[in-house]
Amino acid sequence: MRFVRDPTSEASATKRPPRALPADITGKTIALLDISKERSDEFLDHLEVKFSEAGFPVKRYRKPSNSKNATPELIQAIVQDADIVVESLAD
Amino acid sequence: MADTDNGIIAVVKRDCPTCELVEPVLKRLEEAGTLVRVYSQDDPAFPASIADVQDDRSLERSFHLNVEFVPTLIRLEDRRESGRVFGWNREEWERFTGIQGIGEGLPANQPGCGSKSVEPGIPEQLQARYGEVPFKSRKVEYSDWDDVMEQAFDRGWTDGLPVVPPTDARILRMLTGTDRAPDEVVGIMPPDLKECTVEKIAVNAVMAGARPEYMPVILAVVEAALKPKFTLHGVLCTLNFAGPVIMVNGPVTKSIGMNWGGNCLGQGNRANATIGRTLQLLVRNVGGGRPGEIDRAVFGNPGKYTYCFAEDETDPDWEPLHVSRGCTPGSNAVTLHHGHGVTGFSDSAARGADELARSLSLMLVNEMHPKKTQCANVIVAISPEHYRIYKDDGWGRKEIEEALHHYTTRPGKDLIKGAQGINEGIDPALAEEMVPKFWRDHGILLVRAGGPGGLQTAIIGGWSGGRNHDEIQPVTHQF
Repeated sequence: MRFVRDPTSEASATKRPPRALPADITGKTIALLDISKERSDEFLDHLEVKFSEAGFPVKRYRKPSNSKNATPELIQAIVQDADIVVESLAD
Repeated sequence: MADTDNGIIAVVKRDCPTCELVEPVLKRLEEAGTLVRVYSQDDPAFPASIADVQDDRSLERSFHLNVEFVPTLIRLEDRRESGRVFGWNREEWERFTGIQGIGEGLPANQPGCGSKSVEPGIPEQLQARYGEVPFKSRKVEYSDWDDVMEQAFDRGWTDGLPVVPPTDARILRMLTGTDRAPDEVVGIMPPDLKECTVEKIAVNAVMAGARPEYMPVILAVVEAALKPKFTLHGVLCTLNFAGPVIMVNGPVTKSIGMNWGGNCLGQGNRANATIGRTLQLLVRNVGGGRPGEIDRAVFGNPGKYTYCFAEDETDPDWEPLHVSRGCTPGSNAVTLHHGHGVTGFSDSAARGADELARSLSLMLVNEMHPKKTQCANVIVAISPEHYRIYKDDGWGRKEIEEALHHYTTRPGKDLIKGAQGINEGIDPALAEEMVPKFWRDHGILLVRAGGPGGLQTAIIGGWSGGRNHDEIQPVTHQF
């Protein structure tokens, strides 16, 4: 038997199911995450108005660039301060 | 049976005139009981006069004996080496064997030949077969019935073109191009954020078809690509056309035979092709960045197979790109840009530097979109014929860059959203300002490249991520 060496990182992905949607969002704090892509903010401005009119507390967050991963600090802040996050993709 | 644990053994090959010369001497030593065995590297029938010739065409014994020259005599005491001589020197052989008057009629001295076990390409094969290798990468076995090239496709290891199978011998050979340890972590490769070791780089360099002498450049390219400012994660997953473009500066470009001349952005040069391809294979294999998965490019561009060239530094009056970006003159460096395909600019009528710069600027303002500004960076590669026009007017890098920035700065009123009946555009608050097309410090990466004969300039537009000026920039890395 001959062999070659594996060129990959030799990691295997773990598939995790998404968390279940909350059964009731009454009173939940909504995080709006702007990924800094063009017109991302326009979409979230609209959502903020709609959520606020409906009586939801809203918090705004922003990645410095859509091209880099969200920092652990940003993710932790959202986890601590909000119940539901809406992330805007745009172009 | 002769005691082969004690006495002198010889390693020879028929292809060595000195080995043929000393055959009578070997016979005399055998008759004296001093010589107990001969290993022949290329012909077990040689030397014909010796009784105990062992076939070492596999070179296994030569490898374990660490033979560098033939003929070599090795003295064994209880199977342990207690001395060796090589080549032919009568006095030395007499001293070594304790037998006087050997080799009568032969010249007093004749150098030997290189051992077959140290011929180019062979030591690594012997190391892989008979020695130990330090690799940690998993062995992926295949049988004689398997097509290893097809298996590489099936396992998702390739960019769509065949790859060179990464055998231990080839990886060992690739690693001769660097002093760095195989287990050294060069950086963390996105998107999976996995450790990228020198070993993994060598494995993928083998697959890309690179040569060992490219390794210093390849390692520098990986280090540059993994600098946070370059934002490799972003460029590998973007919807945009862009992929990494590598420009190499310094003496290394000549020593490894890179192309900065005719067709330097095209096919045909092994160094250009395989250095760029290695980075892309690393992104795919170590990082896990694959098209259709996290690579979301709408079109991509052909440079995502490979995109690498050298700068023409043959004119001492020209300040090379890396020096303009802070590197030491005469040093080696790589500069990475997030690039699209090539846009050709052809102007055969301009007769002066200023006219040519104005003409070129008409093309440059269209990058990404004519009404967008400071949203992407651009490589401007000037051919020798266009460079001659600038130089004849006394222009160098500074003057050309100054003119291109000047002529690509336009009135904001023509570019704002809605202007010219087109919604795309810049912030209306800039309507009364003159707005530059490119960032001043790195928006235009000016290089000399290309072959003679055409009044052309190559433009390589850039990734829209470049609009995030503080976060994302081209990077230059000296090595």
